[in-house]
Amino acid sequence: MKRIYLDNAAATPMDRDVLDAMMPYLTTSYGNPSSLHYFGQQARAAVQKARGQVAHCLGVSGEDLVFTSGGTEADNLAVLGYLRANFPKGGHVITTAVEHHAVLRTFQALEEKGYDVTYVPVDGDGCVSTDDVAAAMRDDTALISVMYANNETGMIQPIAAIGALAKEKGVAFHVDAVQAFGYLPVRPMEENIDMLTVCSHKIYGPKGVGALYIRHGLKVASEAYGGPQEHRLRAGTENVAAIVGFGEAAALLEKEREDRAKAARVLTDIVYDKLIQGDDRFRLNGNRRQVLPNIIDFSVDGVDSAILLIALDLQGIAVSAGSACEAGAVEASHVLQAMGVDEKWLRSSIRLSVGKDNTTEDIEHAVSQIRDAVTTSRGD
Amino acid sequence: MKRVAVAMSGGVDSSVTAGLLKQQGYDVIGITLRLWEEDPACTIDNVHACCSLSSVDDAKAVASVLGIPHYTLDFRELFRRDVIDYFVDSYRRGKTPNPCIACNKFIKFGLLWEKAKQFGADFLATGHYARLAKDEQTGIYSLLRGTDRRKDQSYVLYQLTQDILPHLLFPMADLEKADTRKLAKEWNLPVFNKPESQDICFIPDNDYKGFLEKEQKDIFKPGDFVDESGRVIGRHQGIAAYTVGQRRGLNLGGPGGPYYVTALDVEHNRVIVGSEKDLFSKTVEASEATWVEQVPTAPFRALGKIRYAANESPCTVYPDGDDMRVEFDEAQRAVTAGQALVLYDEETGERVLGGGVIQ
Repeated sequence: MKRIYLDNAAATPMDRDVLDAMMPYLTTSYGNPSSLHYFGQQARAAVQKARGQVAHCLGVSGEDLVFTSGGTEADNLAVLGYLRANFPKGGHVITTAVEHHAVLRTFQALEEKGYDVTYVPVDGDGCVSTDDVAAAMRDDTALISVMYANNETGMIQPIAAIGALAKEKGVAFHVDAVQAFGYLPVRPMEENIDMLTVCSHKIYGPKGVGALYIRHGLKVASEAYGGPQEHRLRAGTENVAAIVGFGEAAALLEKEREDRAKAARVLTDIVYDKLIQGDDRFRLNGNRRQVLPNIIDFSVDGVDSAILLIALDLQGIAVSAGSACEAGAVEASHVLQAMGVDEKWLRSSIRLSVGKDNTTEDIEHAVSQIRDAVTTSRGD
Repeated sequence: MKRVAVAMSGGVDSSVTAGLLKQQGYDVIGITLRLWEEDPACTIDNVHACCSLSSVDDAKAVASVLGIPHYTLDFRELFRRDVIDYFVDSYRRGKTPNPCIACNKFIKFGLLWEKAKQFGADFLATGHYARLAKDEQTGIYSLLRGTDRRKDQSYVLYQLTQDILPHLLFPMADLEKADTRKLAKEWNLPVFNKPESQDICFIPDNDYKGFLEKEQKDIFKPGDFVDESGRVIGRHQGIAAYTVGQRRGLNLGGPGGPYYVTALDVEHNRVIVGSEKDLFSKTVEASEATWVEQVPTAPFRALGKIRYAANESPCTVYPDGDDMRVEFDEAQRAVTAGQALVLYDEETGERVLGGGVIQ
C-alpha cells in the first residue's frame, strides 16, 4: 500500500540538507555553547549562525531572536512575558476566537489571573476584521495577539492593517506565524509586529525548536529561572543540533518559498476542483482567495472526522481532523464554531495540508481515496 | 483479507484477542473507546480500570508490539447517556443496574459496530469468554458459554441477536484464563500480568455510593425501614444505598433479626426488610425481552440465571411479547429488579436463549 502524507501542517518531513547540517552537533561537536573552551565555542558559533539564518529569513536582526522549544513556548513567552514585564497588575488584552490553543489557552489563563480578555470574532470564512479589532480597543488595552494564518483553515488574517492600528494606538502586537512562515514573506518590522512566533517542524526542520522575535527594546520577562541563555529570556542549555537544523531549514526556505507556495497551490487547487466543488456532501471551510497555499480544510456531511481519518489511514492517506484531537476526542472545532458553521459540519472536518514531497499523482490518488471512503462511510 | 475491529481495553483478554486474530490472518484494527472522564483516582499506580487513559496507552503499546494499527474513539457523550445516566437513574428508581450489559448493548455492539462498518470492518471482535456456532442448514447463529465455565461471560451478552452475531468474533471462546496470560507473555505483550479489571470501569475505587452522590447530590434521601407488616423499625440512608438481599450495613438490631432487604419502595421512600426466608420467590417477571435465535410463542422449559453470580436453575418461561413470566422449580434467593434474567437451554445449559430485565 502506498502511503501518502498530507498532514504537513502538523509536521513536515525533515529535509536531507537539514539533517546533514545537524549531524556534527549530534556526534562530534557536542560542546555546551556556554562553555569557554573550544568545544563550547564551536557550539556557540553554530547557534549564532542559525540565529542569523532564521533572522535573515524574517528580515530582522539575530539579536532580537530568542530560540525556544517550539511555537507553544514562544507564544507563552510572548504573551505572559510581555504582560509580566509591562502590565503585571492586569489590564485589557485582545486576541481572536480562532487562535491556536497555544495562544487561546494562554489567554484563558490570563482571564483567571484577572486580565480582561476580548476574543474578536471572525466572519463566516474565518477572517478577522481590522475594524472589529479597532472596536475592541480600550484605553487600558495592553496587548493584541492575532495569528498570521489559521492552522485549521489556513485563512490569512489582515496582519499589516492590525499592525498599523496597534502602532497608532501604542499597543504591543504579537503574531503567531507558525503556519504562515513557510509560505508567506513574513516581515515583522514592515508589518509593525512587536513579537512574532515561528517554529521549525513546519518548514522541514526538526521538532523541538522554535523562535520568538521581539522588537528591539521591547521589555519581556523570562518565564523560566536559570542561566542567562537567549538574552536572559530562556534559561537552559540550547538545543544546539535542533537550532542548527532550524537555521538550515530557514535558509532553504528563503530560497525556495515562492516555488513551494506555487507548487502547493496547484495541489490544493486539484483537491478543490476535483473533490469539493460541485459535490454537496463537502463543504469548504474558509475560502480559496485568502488562504495559505498548502492547506485546504473541508467538512463532510454525515461522517465523523474520527471515522473518516481511520478509514483513510487504513488506505494509506494521512490527514488530520481540523478539530482538536486529544486522545481520540473529536471535539467540535472551536475555529468552525467561531465561524458560525452549521452543527452538521462541525465534527466532520478534514484538513489536508500538502508539502514539497507531494506530487500531482499523490493528490489525485488521495482525492479518489477520500471520495471512496466518504461514500463507504456514509453508505451512499 | 477480512478486516476485523477489535475492542481493546488495554487488558489481557482483549490484547490476546487481537493477537489471536492477527495470527489467524485477519486485517486487525485495534480500537479503544474513551468512555468517561478520567478521575484523578484512576492515575494511581495500583488502579487499573478498563477505560482510563492509561488503558489507552496500554492498548497502544500492545498494538505496537503486535504490529497492528490502533485508534481511539471518543464515545463519552453516548456512554454518559446510555450507561452512566441509566446506572444512576436505576438506583434512583430502586433498581440494581448492570452497566456492563447496557454498555455491551449500546456502546460495544451498538455504536462501535456501526462505526467499525464505516471504516470498512467486516467483523467486530471482543475479548469476551463466549462461543458462537452457526447452524449450516438454517444459517442461524447460536451464542454459547465460554469453554472455561469460571470465565464464561455469556450472561452479559444475552442481548445479542441475529442482526449482529454473523459479524462477531470471540476468539477467547476456548481459552482458559491461564492460557491467555501464557500467550500474552509469549508474545511479549506488556500487559501480560496486568490485574483483572474492576467490576464497574467508571467507578475504579468501587465506591458506588460516593459515585452516585457525586452524580446526583440529592440521591440519598433518608427514610424509614419497615418490616413486612409496615411497622417502622429504623431509619435508612436513602434507597439507592440498598439492594435486595442485603444484610450488612442496615444497623437494625433488636428482636426479629437478622434483617434482610426484601424490597425497595420508591414511592414512599421506604426500605422493606424481613427475614431471610422472605427473600425467596419462585416467580420472576421480566421485561425488554430479547431472543438470540428465535422469538418464542409458547411456554417452554429453560435454565434461568437471575444475576451474574447466580447459578442457573430449572424454570418454565411464559413469554408475553416484550415481557415474560418465569416460574422457577425452586425458589430463588434475592431476585433483584434491574438485574438481567438470562435463559439457557434446558438440555445442555450451554446455549443462550435470551433474557430480559427483572421487574
